[in-house]
Amino acid sequence: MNDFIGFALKSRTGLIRFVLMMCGVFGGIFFFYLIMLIALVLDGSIGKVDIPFMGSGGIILSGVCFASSADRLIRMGVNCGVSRKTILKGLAAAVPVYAAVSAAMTALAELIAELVYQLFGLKLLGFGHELAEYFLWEIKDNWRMRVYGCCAVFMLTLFALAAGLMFVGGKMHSRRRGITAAAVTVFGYWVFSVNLDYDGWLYDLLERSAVATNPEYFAWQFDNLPSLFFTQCELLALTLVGVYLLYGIFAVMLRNAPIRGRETG
Amino acid sequence: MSIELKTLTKSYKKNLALDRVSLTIEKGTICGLLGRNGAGKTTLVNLVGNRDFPTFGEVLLDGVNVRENDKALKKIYCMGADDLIPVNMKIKEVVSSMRYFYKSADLNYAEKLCKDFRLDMTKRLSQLSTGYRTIAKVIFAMASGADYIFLDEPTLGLDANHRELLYRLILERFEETEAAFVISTHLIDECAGLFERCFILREGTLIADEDSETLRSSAFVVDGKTEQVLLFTSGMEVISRSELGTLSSACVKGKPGNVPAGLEISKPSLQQLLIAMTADEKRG
Repeated sequence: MNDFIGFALKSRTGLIRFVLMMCGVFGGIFFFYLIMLIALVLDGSIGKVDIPFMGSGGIILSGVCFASSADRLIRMGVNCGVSRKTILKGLAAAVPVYAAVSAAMTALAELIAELVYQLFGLKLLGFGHELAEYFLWEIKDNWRMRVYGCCAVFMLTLFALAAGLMFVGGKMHSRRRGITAAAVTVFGYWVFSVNLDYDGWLYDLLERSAVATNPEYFAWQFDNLPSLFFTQCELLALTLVGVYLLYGIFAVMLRNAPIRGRETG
Repeated sequence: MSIELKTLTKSYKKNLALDRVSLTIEKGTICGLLGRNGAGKTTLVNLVGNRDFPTFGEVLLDGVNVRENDKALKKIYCMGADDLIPVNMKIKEVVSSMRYFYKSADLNYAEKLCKDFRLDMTKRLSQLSTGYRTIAKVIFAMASGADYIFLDEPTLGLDANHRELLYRLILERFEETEAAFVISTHLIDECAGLFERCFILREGTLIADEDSETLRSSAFVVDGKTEQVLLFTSGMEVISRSELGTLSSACVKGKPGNVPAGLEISKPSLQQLLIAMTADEKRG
């Protein structure tokens, strides 16, 4: 198994390629924001509008990059005599590293974008904005938010990576199944995370039903903990459940999948 | 040391690709895996390499099942005709990746082979012609250092010069490493000199598993006038027959015995024998 983990983390085909792809992705996002910045300058709206940063876009794209990397890793692994069992274990071990790297890159990209925008009197409403505020002005008061904000980005990245794995697992059976798997996971991602920030129905539903069944416990929660703390805990738990579910589906798919190069499909 | 296939069966829905194939490949031999298109050669290679799983039966390496067995699979390298290696990878990237999996992978040897074939290692597989892509895959296999190397269509798209070079290099590598080579090809006469043993598949069934020489000696070709040939071969096991005007040719199993005047007897080439053994019955 160490061979495969080494290949996933040290080789040019693995983590290095993934990081380069992520750099490309964030380069693209930066380019988009710079164009938007120029448009705002020309429009004379500088200092008047706040723009949401597409951090979620970066996380989803990290899932896509990971799917591409995982596809290579699995194909090369199978070509070079690695069993599916070892591939599954190796990827399970490598995924948190990939997630940590891409979460850090996402946070850094948001922070830099935020700082660039602040030079022009604008702000990006996203995790980068939160980070910038915490680091620059409110470090002492908001440590919980910062910690859980970081965790949320990490967990959401894990979710996106698991979605990427599911796509690859589906692709090994057939391309149609891979695309279906990806569509389902993107929807799942939206329901579990992206939509949460905008009064998502699933979150509301869960919270309402949870509060209705345990009113005393939740009253205590709301009295004793900041609301964001509670929200983030729930978000992290839901995301983690989603990650495990997706990884489980991927494992079942890959375990029985014949890998036959271009013939597959 | 050997690889043993025991009643290996593979079916895809209603299509039976391999039907209870049992054979043994000893280390230190070069074997030919022969058969017509769709006979099950690639399926067999994929099953040995754990790329696909058998419906029934098993592949044993020194008595141990290779299925999901990393230790056993490290001793086998299967070069497939299809593109399992991502085509947008550079050759040098693939070569350097191999050291993670095969401890005895010889990267210098891979570089030497690239020079011999004038293959630019900085190119991506997708940038290569069909022939050079085949060469690249053969190089990966030969440099892997595996004990059992399966080459599925290693001559696909290769010109005559490169084929000659390839046969020479296979022999050299075989003498150096004593690895077992199993070569699946349709250019049988060209490779016949390499094969010590032949496995012939027909519609998923193993119909021959013999030494090349024994196989060739097991049959003879008789040519002559149709009436004479028919008379001579009556009661014999005729593998195939063809007619051209008043003349006939028949490939017959066994020894010729006393041959009447007017008939010519010859030893079939491996290719002739394969054509005879795997011909459609209608055409037969």
